[in-house]
Amino acid sequence: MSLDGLLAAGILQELSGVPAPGVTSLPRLSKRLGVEASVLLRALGQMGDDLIGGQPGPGWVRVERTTERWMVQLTARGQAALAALAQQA
Amino acid sequence: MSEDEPRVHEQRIEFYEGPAGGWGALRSVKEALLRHNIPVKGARTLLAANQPDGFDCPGCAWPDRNHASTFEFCENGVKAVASEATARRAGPGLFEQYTVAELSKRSDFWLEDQGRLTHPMVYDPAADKYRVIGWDDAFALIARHLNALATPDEAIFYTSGRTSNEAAFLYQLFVREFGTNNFPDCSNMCHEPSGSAMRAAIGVGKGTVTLEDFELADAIFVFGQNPGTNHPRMLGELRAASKRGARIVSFNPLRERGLERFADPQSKLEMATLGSTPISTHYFQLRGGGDLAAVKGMMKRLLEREDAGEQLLDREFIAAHTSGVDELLADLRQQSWDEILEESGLSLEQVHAAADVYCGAKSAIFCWGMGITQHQHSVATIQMLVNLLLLRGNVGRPGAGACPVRGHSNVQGDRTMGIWEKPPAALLDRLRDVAGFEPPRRNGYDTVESIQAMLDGRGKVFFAMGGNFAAATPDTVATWKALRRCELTVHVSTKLNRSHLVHGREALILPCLGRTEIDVQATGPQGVTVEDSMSMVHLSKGLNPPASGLLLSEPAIVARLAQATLGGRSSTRWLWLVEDYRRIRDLIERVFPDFRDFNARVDVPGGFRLYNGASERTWHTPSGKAQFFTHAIPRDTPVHRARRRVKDAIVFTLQTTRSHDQYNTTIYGLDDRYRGVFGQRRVLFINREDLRALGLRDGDWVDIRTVWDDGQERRADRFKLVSYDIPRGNLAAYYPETNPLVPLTSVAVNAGTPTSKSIPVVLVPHPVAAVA
Repeated sequence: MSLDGLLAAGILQELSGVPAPGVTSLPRLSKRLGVEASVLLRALGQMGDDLIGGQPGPGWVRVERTTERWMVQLTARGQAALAALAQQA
Repeated sequence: MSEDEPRVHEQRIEFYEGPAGGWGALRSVKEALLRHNIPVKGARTLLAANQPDGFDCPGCAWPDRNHASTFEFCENGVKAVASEATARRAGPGLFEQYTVAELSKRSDFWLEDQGRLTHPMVYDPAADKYRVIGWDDAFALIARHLNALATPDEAIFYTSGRTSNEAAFLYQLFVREFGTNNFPDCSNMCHEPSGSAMRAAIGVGKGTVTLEDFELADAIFVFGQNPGTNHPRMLGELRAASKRGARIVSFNPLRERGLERFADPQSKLEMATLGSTPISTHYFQLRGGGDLAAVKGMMKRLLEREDAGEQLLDREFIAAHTSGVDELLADLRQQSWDEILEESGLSLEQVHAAADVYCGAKSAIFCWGMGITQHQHSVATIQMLVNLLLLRGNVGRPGAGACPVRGHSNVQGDRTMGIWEKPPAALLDRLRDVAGFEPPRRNGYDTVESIQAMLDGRGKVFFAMGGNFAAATPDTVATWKALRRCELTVHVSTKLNRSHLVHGREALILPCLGRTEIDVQATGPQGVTVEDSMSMVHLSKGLNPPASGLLLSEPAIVARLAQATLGGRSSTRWLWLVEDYRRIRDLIERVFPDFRDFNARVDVPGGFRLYNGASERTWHTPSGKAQFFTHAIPRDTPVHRARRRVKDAIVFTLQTTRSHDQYNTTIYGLDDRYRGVFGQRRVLFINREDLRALGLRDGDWVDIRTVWDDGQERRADRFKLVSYDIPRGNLAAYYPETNPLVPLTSVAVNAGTPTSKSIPVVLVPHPVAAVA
């Protein structure tokens, strides 16, 4: 149940391809990745900067609630993490 | 109500014409989401998460079909999730802004509406405010109090029915190792009589049916239950049963829309055409507490038809599997119809009709709720229900059985885990063998006994794992006095509630994770397990980041408290256990053989069903058989006695009830849509003829006074009369507002459950000037 590295990488990759201003909705991201919403929500929860288990998350993504929907965005730290992943590959 | 009290709708009383569910439910869902700043369009993403990989709905204990339910359309489930996932926060700033005295003036709705608690708080008597405290200091404070007690029995450990199996197991382990069985729980206030009655009758204190049985039943009887508000997902099963032609027979003093018609928000046809499905084929509005008489009448009718030459009794089953039928049949033969009709409030034709539906069904399920359990004679009533099932072999075969519908989402699991003030010796033996300590053998206090113990000084530390004890319990004045006499009160909570404001000399609020939140421990994110009303055990894993980085999970709170309190006295590796909840489940498996291969079986989507002997016609009773019990129709209840005593006023039977915008003590809003009440809660439902008899009118205000014999005045003032379809002599009003009217000593025989559904009361006009 810990954060799935492949899924996290997939989320980062998908978010990096979102056209400006780089914000996408949660349902759209779920559809694009073909990942169940419950799985995606849990992963995003661990990729943000919230304190979980007393530790701050990596801050790779920002999830914001608007009146109508959840919006997801890649952060600068997320872009850096994605670049590091690309270098490793 | 204060100026800034939230009010969703203006106050009005307006007859509700629609079905349960339908567009009204969707509108209500939208309002609930917006209220808590949860995006409406994306909500389905969150709410559809009650799937094998998601979290268990923190609402009710009705099971999910394959645990992949249509959660997004369970209106009250949405309210529960939205309430927990709210963006609002009750942080240190709130507690700095208000003294406890000021907070105490606020409504229960306002308190909960402040949002999620974020920090551990300790009461500062000098300022009458809660202040931030560190977790270690909080645990040290509790440990200091516990270890200073003259005996462990001076501590009382309450459990809410939302507590997970893992937390509940650790909790009972800690408390028993500490040295007491003082485990009051919410079961004491709801389905304790079901357990007591059924264990004696069929050897298991739980329901015997599964959801699949609902697909096969020819008839479903619903006694004293309002699923439209309290278990909305049950309406889906009733709707499906109705559509395939099953008979659905409801017994309820109040006309409840959810038992009449339901529009499934998932059904495009019903939603598009504003259609709905009838639910009850028969609806019997009996007197409050008249169920035992009604069921006895049904049995008498069955027997009369049998004696007339029909073959309605399952004689083969009765001979092979039961004991005591001769006494029951003899009692039924001598039972007068006059008494049955007088006490049930039904006509002979109605009782016959109900019995004839039962006799015509090849298989039948009996469901019941707190309309059955919260009477003095509730255990007897449930045993009569079981009698009726047994007479036609309707236990332990497909499409048939008993279905006590539990309230809180893990109330049944908590009892399974040993949250029980009267633990069986076998459980204590297993704990001793597995955990290596000698558990206390004397029974502990149930909820009412706990209040009495705190009142007379035998209870000095009160620890609540969840819930809202001060609001949920009866005899509010006495209960609050009891809590205030404690040396220490501690509440593990997600939101601010009344119990935090009715506190002991020292007091703590310990904020915990909700079930929708990600719970990360040393080995990574964890899942917890729960057991639903049909004994299905499944895993629940949170999805949302915690409301605050300082929240601890309930298992972690128990472990750290145990470590702080027991220290080197315990050989249990508390902190190691909570690093990985699979370790807790391994320990559970060693104590409870029914949980063999626990971790493996719970990893399967949907989980597994616990062994249930009665479902397989194996009877774990002293005789080895299912037991018929013979009970007289009660003629000496508190209401009977009050009516004999009071001659100059009408003595009513008051039942407490929930509104559609609440779950137990949690108030989500001020509407009760299906009963036509909007923007208010201090209403009193009354029969129109009774209004005339009192010389009062719809909308008049009254005070309610209990008729009791201990010399104490119990009253609840300023209720607006609302004429309603309810039998004469009966009243209904919301709880917790009417809890002050329930005498502490008025409990179910052999169960101790407060008799909140049959309070003898009189009405007194409220001074008009005060209302204005």
